[in-house]
Amino acid sequence: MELMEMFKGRNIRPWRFLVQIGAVLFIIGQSYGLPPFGTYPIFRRIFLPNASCRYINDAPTSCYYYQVQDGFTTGFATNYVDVAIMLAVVVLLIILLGRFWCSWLCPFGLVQEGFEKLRELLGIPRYRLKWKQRILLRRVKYTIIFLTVLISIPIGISALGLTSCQSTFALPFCQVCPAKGFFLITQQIFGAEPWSNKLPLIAIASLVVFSVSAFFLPMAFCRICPMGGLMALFGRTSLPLLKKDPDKCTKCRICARVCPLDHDRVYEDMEKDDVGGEDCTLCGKCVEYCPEEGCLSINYGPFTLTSSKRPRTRNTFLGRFRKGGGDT
Amino acid sequence: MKEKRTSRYLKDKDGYFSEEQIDRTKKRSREMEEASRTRLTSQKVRAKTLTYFDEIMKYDGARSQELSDFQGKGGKIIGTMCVMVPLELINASGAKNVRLCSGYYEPVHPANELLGDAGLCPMVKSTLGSKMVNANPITNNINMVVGPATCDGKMKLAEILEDWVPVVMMNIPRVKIGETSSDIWVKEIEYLSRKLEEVTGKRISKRALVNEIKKWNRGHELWSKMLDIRRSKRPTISGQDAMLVVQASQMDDIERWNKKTSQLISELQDMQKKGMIAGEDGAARILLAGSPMMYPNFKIPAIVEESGGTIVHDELCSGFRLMSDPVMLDGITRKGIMRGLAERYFFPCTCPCFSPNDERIRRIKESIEAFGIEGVVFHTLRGCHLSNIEATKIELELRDIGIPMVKLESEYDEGDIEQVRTRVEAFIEMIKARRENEGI
Amino acid sequence: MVDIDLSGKPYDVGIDVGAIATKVIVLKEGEIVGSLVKNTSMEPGKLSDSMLSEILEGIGVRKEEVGYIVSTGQGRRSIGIADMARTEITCFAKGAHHLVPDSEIVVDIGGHGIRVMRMGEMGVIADFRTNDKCSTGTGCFMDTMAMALEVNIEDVGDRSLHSKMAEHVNASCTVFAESEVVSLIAKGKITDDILAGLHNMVARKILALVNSTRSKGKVFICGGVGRNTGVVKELREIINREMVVPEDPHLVGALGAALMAPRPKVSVKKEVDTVQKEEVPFMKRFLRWST
Ligand code: SF4
Ligand code: SF4
Ligand code: SF4
Ligand code: SF4
Repeated sequence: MELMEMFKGRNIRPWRFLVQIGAVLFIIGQSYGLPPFGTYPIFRRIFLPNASCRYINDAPTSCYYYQVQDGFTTGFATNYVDVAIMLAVVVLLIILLGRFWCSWLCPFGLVQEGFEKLRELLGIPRYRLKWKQRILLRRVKYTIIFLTVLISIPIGISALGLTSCQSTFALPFCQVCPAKGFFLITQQIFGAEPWSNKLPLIAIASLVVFSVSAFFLPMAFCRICPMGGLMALFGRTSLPLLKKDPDKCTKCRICARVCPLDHDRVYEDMEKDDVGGEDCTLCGKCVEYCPEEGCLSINYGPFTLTSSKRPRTRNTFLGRFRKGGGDT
Repeated sequence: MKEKRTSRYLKDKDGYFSEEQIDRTKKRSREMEEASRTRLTSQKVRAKTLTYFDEIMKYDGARSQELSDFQGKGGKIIGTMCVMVPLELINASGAKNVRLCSGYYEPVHPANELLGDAGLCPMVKSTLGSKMVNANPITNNINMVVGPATCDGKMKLAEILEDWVPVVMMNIPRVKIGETSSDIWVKEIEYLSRKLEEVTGKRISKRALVNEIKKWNRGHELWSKMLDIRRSKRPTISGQDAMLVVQASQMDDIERWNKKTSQLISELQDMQKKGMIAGEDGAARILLAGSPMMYPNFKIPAIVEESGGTIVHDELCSGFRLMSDPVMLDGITRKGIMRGLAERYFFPCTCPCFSPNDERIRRIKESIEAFGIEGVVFHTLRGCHLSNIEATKIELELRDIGIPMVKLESEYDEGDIEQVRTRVEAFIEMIKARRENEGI
Repeated sequence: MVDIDLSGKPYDVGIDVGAIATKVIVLKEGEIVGSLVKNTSMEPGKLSDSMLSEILEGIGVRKEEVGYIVSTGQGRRSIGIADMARTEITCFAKGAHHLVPDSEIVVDIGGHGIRVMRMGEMGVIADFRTNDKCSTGTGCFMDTMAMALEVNIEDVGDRSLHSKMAEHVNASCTVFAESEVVSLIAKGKITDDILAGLHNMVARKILALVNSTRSKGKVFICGGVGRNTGVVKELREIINREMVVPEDPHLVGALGAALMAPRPKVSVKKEVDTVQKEEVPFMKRFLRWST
């Protein structure tokens, strides 16, 4: 692992890791017995994608997908204001955070990266999706959004008389979401919740599927995650952007290879400078590895946060304490 | 056990070439190399460390002795025929690499004798000729040749060379379409690693591979520092010398090369601080592009730099491209390493054998901007169809951005020197006149 | 570049040492005051020296009155008396621009080479191409052909104009073209027709080079072969662009060389400026400016 770090131009990963840990502590820490950080009322309105799954005890906020599902199916019948506020918050968050959420804050992303690390440590090669499979997964993603969101809306409109379906159609995605299984089980293991034998079987099954796939395929869930999908749909309007200077690109394909999500627009697109979108979660891995000075950059609106750099042989954090890491 | 195949091209090869011819080839090659070296050493501003690289590239210098000693101890030497051969892999198997492509003029004749005047590029002929009469002490005793099937000339060259030495041919997908071609190439690299293991009898371990990658990446890093020096307003190294240095990396042990190059770089930086400059003050900044030029065939760069230009950058697979891209690994699994290696040698390569090859133009334009290039000298070897065809496209693209280009077609002999010189001089006069015009 | 004290030295000399002929020109303030053409000898230095003296004697100018001597052509480096040497490509372009400033393509058909220059702004070459090793269409080629046909080289052009039906000559290599010509003679074809065919082939060859510049502007023909009326006629027919042939196309290179002399043009300009300033009254100037 240490060897790998030596080849990077930029080092974004450690910072990202810190932010991720902080976010986990902030968002769901208290359900694992840590002091509560985020229980202030204001946070109750901030819905982040599986930020705090509804199935987390004492969760300060809730997953926005839960809100979307719940809000639409029931919202129109009772209180339109709730739906409006919810929508406004969701849209605002999409614009402000965009997919930064995915690889910098989402606790679930961290879990998946953990699986990836484990696989790398064991020296097992990753599975690479074929182009067709990638397209298929993308379709699955949008189908899920379609089924859960667009079908919830008519149900929520009481005038259509479908309100009787409300109970059967409540939270359809939550039932299969692996996050549910994950949080339920870990909470019970850490003792935040008493053991119960009423573990939902579907959630467990999907958790197993998820773990296995995330082990072999990096960020497996992110590929079909409807929350990410929603953000990607509006991705062009959000402020964080992955940009590329096509003139500097040598088409070395490093970016497409290192990308955990096989997002190859960043390699292929030579016309537009905005190369994010679709599958990209703004993890910055391609920026770290791109060997051309200033070719790729992560921007927030008009500001450049970081950009790619020529790789230098340098000592890694551990290597600094050893002798003879570099040879100059 | 593979049965010994009879020769395809030279069935009666014993005694085909007379002693006299072999001696003549050797003698002329040595003379030519000496002449080229004197031309290099007679430059006014020249870093002292460069003598080391002269020695490496010398016709029968210390390096050839070193290699034969190494071989005497049971080491293997692998000849490569293209920039697309992953040298890390060769080094990781414990073998040493030498670049076969030859720049000597004389060995062209034995090859012509064998093939008739086949309208081939002289580099291919010279490489073949060198092997046929064993005219180059560095590349004589190779144990195996790795020949990627790039252009037709090299492809057939690999086949012919099989009469003398075992050859591993690699199938290069000549159309780069993302993953599919990458998959093919990864398989070829894996095949090569198997072949290497067969020859050396040593398994290529992951650890060794990563170590070699580290060394070569270090080389890449040093080379980009060198490019920084050349990019500056007052480069302290001439284009010929830079090409010599980077070509030496193909012959030398990479670790030692790294050490010497970093020495050279600090010397060059010191020279820069002292205000020295290689070539004339106010020389035209030239980009060299086109077919490869292997040492000692430095005819064209020498002419350019003698007529008042400085080659501040090149776009040659015998120049900057040898060291231009680092290997980036996304995982330390064997498969990941192989893929990283394969893609490093495949995707950024702008060899004209790829089609479409828009990256080449993009890269040339990018370096024109970054290096402040005023004119492009596009060199094609006679018989290099790929470069010849691309020249037109590149010239038109460059015309759009107002950069003049001159195309020089040359053979491996000194006969056309005056003609080439006239054109290069006119080209540089033209650049200077343009400069004056813009100044007004 | 040599700096010369130019006071009392109004004359510049251009020496063009071509593959076949050496041309020397003496220039005074952009006007040709004397010129001489002789076949290039084995000692171009001596030859040009004597040629220069001959011209100077003829026009009654002392050697001390000569400012710059610029040499060009293939033998430019062997001229000892020259102050600077420039390539023929630059010089022909310079001369052509001086004679016809709006010419876009300059074609120089010399003894050993054909050079096509595309002109950019202010008489600076934008790019150029030359024939590679092949010498078809050059002066030497025409010489060889004239020899094979036993025609005096000076008459080649005019004789081909009499042709009614040109023969086809296809080979594009001097040796092969010669054997083709010989076989045409053997078939009993008329010399004039063969010549016309040859000229047509040469014109096509030149046209290919001209076309490769992808410029559609005015073409300026110079160099020794420019005196060959046959080639010029054929070229005019197929070139599809405006075409200019100067009176002495072979002298253009030497003229350009003489013009390369780094004479300060400011002095001339200044005079013009002051004259204008004095002559034009303020009101008039104002009116001119305001419209
Ligand atoms: S189960 Fe999944 S969709 Fe439902 S609230 Fe939890 S994270 Fe969100
Ligand atoms: S890593 Fe950088 S240089 Fe390479 S293809 Fe991607 S963007 Fe281009
Ligand atoms: S494209 Fe780059 S930033 Fe986006 S997911 Fe892939 S590696 Fe991460
Ligand atoms: S110079 Fe051209 S013809 Fe020769 S080996 Fe290279 S690509 Fe092939």
